[in-house]
Amino acid sequence: MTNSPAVPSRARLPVVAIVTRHWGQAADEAAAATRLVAGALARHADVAVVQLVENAGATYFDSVFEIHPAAVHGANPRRLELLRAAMNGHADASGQPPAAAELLRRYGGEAPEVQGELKKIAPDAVVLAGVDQPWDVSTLGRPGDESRPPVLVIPFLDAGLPVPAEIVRLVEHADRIGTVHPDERAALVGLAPGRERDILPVDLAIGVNRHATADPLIGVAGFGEYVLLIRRFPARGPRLERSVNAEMLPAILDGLSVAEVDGETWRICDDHNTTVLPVNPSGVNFARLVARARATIDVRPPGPVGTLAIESMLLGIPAVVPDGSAAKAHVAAANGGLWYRNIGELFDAVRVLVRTPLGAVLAGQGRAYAQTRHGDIDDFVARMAALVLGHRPAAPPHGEAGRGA
Amino acid sequence: MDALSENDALDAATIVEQLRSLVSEGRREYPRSWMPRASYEDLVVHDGREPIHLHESIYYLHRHWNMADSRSCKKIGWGPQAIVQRLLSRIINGAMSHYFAEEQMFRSHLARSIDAIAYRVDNLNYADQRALLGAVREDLIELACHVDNLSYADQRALLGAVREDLIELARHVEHRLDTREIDR
Repeated sequence: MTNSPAVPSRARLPVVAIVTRHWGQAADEAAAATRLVAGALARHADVAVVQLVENAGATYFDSVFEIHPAAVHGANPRRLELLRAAMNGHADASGQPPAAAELLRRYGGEAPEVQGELKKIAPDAVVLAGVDQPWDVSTLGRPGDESRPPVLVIPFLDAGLPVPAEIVRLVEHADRIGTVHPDERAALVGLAPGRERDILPVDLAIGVNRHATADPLIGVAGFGEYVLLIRRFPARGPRLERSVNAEMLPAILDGLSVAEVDGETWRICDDHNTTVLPVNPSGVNFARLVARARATIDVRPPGPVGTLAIESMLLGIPAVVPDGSAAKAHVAAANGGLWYRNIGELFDAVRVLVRTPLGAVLAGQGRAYAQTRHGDIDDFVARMAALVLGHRPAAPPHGEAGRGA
Repeated sequence: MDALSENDALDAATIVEQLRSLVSEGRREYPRSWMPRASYEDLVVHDGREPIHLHESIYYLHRHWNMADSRSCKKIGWGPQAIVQRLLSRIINGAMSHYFAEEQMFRSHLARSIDAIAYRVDNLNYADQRALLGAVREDLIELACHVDNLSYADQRALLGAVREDLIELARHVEHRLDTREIDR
């Protein structure tokens, strides 16, 4: 894969089409990861995004990439979610009742315009980001067809949940499958026997402010050492997210303060005082807050990528994450933190990290792992080019990168 | 934990398993199984309904039950109209003072009664809701304990039954929606 001679010339960059629902202003991990992949590919290719949208009027106009909206007709996301939740008890995708599989297909809708958009783009490679691909993927052909562009699928599978049935169809038509967390590979290997070599880690590179430790955030100095609790606002998530809050943690932490990121509200408290931090809730400030913490505690509903755990480990901070999540898969692979199934285990994990020397050891291990796998953006760009385009290009000089198609 | 800290390379899974084994040996400081949300009280207090004792008509009653000031004549001056009005006021108040005193007493008792009833209704309302939510909470904890104690096979069977019910429900909803579309 890395020794192909066909490095593209400057005159004509290859065109990569990304077909996805995960794009635009949705603040979910999969959308951020898809954009990261698109950005990396844009260094060596012209990237066009075919965005699957329920409402064509809601298409996100991007300043970097050209967006080709493809309307999804007849989708019913609410019923789809309900049925998917019901199907979570199934051990694997193939065991679903036919009635449920049929309903899942129907509620997913149809996006027949995708083929037309792909014809217009005439891509040299296709990336299918996300499992939700409600169009006839078989029109792409099968692996080995010489006339078709190589196809990479990045499914963004949730860890700990059964693999959705739709993935089987995508894997059949993909040349390679990219995984964003270690448990994803294990889940996919069983579905594609004999294709283990085609399932490759994407290892997203996460950009963090490495100098954040030198520059503490205003307002936290008076509170001494703290752990960082990350929630989501409004608190309508699963039970644990609502139950654990900054007020209840100081009691078990013996003098340690608790900083809390609750959407755009950031606060810090100890036994007696609570202060809302007078800062702009930006990525840079978030890194500054993380970098000074003794540990990060993530009580949000698990996402498909585990970005926060990677960020925390990159900054040398051990992470406490929910069991059965992508974040846990990263933390377990890195030995860079601990995980919990309930409130009691969460408290136990935090105590171990802040009261014993184990926290420092895990932090060091996590940093080493994260820097190797997720810390080198140039390497990520080259790896993505190899994964999608089939060659590992030399780093282009500044100013010669591709841009949106 | 101390033994683990002496090692240079640590396996996080081992630490998690050790912590879990400590719990299984009896150390249970915090809840380890499913618990319903603790803020039922908030649901009652912040349920969006204004308490009856804060209703604006009761507020008005509080402000206006005492009408003693309205009976005294406010007209001042030495014009013929002011003199006549003051005279009439004295005559009427003098003749009907007993009635007005009774009326005043009646209004004050009426306001107090309505106020007391409003508070009582509000308290009854909250107490009933609290009792109901408390009962639901106990039921949910009992159900969670029951599910926790089930064997893995039984849990899967239960989940399967719930799943079938949900599929049935989805079909039922879809049928209802389709029928409604046709009706339109």
